[in-house]
Amino acid sequence: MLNIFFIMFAPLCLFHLYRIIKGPSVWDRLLGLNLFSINMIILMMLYALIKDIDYLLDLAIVYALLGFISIVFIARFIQRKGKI
Amino acid sequence: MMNIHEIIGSIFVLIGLVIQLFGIYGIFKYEHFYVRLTLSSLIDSAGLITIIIGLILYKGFGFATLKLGFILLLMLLLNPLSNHILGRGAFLSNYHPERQGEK
Repeated sequence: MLNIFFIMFAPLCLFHLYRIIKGPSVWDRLLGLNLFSINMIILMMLYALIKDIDYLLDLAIVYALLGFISIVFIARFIQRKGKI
Repeated sequence: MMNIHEIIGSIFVLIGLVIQLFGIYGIFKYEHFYVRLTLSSLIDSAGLITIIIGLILYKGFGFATLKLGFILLLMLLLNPLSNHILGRGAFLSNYHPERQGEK
């Protein structure tokens, strides 16, 4: 059953990639980046549960923290126009 | 033959998938950035929380449940914060999409 969910969740990355490539402004692109990292976390959790590999969940935690940090600092960088 | 907790977990994951599809449809439908931000926070909080609860119910009690619960706690803290930071940054840097066509 989890294999079917993996196949159903994987094409949603394409919509977020379309939002990153063709967003009208830079804020839409950042929103697409946030959604893409969320979808990758879901795919990593599904793969860890399919293959019974527990340490991939640790990698999912690290990826969540890195996505949050990148969103915060890129948004701050753009908001202050080059000065952090 | 599936157990009862696997069936309930699969239903929860399907509900999360439907919420994500609604959010993606809304992001493609509306052009305004702040409306898109609302739908993005819908995907981030409601969809992801439902999917993680479904995976916990699917897997049953074990060591993976602890890590999934930690991811759930982390997502409850961090995702509304990141959406708030996006909206705050866009508002404070004078990004108003509805005023673009009037000039």
